[in-house]
Amino acid sequence: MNRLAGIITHFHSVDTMSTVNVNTEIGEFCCVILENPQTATYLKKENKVKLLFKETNFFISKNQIYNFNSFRTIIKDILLADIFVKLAVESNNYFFCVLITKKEFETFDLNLNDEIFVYIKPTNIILEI
Amino acid sequence: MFEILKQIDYTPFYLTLRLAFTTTVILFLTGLPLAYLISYSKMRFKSVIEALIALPLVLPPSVLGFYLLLILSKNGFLGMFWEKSFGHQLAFHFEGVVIASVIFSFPFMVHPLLSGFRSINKTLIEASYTLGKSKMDTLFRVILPNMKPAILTGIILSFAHTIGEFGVVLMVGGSIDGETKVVSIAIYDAVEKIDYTTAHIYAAVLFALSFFTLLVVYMFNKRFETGM
Amino acid sequence: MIEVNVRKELVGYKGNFTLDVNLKIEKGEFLTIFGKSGSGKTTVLRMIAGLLEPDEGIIRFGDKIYFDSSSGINLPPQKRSVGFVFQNYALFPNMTVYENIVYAADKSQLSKVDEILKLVELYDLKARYPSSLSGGQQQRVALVRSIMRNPDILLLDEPLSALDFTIRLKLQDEVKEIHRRYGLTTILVSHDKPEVFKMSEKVVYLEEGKIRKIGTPREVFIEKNLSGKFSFFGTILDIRKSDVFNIVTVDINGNLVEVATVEDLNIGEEVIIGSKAFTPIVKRL
Repeated sequence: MNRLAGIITHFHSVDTMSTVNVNTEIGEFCCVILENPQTATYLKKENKVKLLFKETNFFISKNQIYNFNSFRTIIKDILLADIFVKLAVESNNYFFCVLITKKEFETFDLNLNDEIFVYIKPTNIILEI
Repeated sequence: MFEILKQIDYTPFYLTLRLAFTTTVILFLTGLPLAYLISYSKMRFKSVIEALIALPLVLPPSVLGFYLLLILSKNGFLGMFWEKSFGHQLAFHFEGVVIASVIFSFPFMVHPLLSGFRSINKTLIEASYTLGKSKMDTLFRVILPNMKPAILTGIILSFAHTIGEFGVVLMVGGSIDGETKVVSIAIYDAVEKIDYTTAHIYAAVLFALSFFTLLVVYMFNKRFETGM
Repeated sequence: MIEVNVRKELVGYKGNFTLDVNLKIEKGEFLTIFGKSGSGKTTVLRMIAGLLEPDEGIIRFGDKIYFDSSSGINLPPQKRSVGFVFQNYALFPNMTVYENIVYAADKSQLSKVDEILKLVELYDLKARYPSSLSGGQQQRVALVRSIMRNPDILLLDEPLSALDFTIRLKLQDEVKEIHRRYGLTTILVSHDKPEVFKMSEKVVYLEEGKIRKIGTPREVFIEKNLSGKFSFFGTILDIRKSDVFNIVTVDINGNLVEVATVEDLNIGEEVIIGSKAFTPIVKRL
């Protein structure tokens, strides 16, 4: 599981749902959770949280498509399997494990040290305390 | 046949049963508290006491008999005390033989009781305590009723062992008619006198008695096991 | 209010550790002590009951001091007004159901015994001996026996862990009902998370003799850890390698699910399985 530490900079709650902005060393992330400050005590500005990214939940592209929840990385390692390809990517000295299908891998024609952009949907980020 | 049976002196049988009964009662009354203490208290010299209790199992009766004779005769401290109080020494008297028997049969009472106490699940005792019951209540209403087989085994084994005992009684009591001449010694006497008929009868009765007491133990224990 | 503030050196299977527990229980509360085996949870219960002496500390129920190392007070279990239910039921094998319960009752309560037996559906079994009862029936007898003296505190030491699932669910309801009906203050020791969720308002999470977390079962088990509302506790039954993944079979309360993950896990481990609440689909059956 990919973990990234950050600090809550802003949140907005409606009923028991909230969007939360978290600032990290590789940029600002926005995520949606089914909590509000009453149901989750950690939901406070300036609170430290960790973002969890499941390896299969990333979108990759050669150019930056989204200007949020997206960061620039360099491919440091490629492991080819039959259906999936495991990439180790690095951004600002943080390493992430990204799992993509072989189809995606071949479509983008990826090589070691290529630059790719990684994006994750706000509904796919899990918060850990 | 009946003529012979009529001629036999039955005093040794009476003496043997009286000795076994007295010994067993004393053993039960002393062995029970002792086994309870050993099982449940955190005594420091527990192993020493346990070794002492088991000693009669390994010592030759003559060793035990010899020391007991020294203590129980009119020069020994117990014998002297007894003579002052009751007018005769302990050695070569029924009371002396009872004391010797109690000591010699101690493990046969205490060991079954010990394993009985140990077989009681500790949570039963704790449950009784949390229900507000004192140690005494717990002992008599929970612990003892649940170790009936062990109690019965202890009683019958002590009884049977006392009936069958020879060496210690001979050393401490000698062979005095009506006082210390129990069946096992009467057999020995008869053989010495080459009176094999009397020896046969005594021996056969003792054989049957021992067998039936043991049979009763095993039958009862089986019933306890299946009946509860 | 019950105050328990105790310390004791304990010998665990991973070496020695110090039990150091400080907690307060309100009157009428249903508290659970949760922890793995060897965490010291049963030890705390036994200390409250007076079956085990702490090295130091204080245990009191309101103004009544059960234990105080500074003034040398240590009431025996008989004087503590606690009901204790053991994991192995601890019914007296030499007594019938009726006798087991009467054993605990005062003379004044004798007339009540039949009524209580009828209430918990044990009346028809009153002449039976414990060995002829099922586990669930035995534990029900033990439960009734433990409350005969109207104890200040009811202590339950994993009372249902030896029972099968359906009986356990039924007895959980009965325990809650008894707690409510008699206005008891109850402490339950359990290592079963679903049971903790169902039974108690407050849970103390004990680890190596120390309180790690305290709060509602939600706070202790879920909210403080993951934001995933769609998350479950489970036990790993099987791990298979497949492509780049480990395909993990997890038992979630009897439901088997499979998850593809790249985590390194071991069979038998307790895990949380979670997903964003936005991901699962819901379909009418």
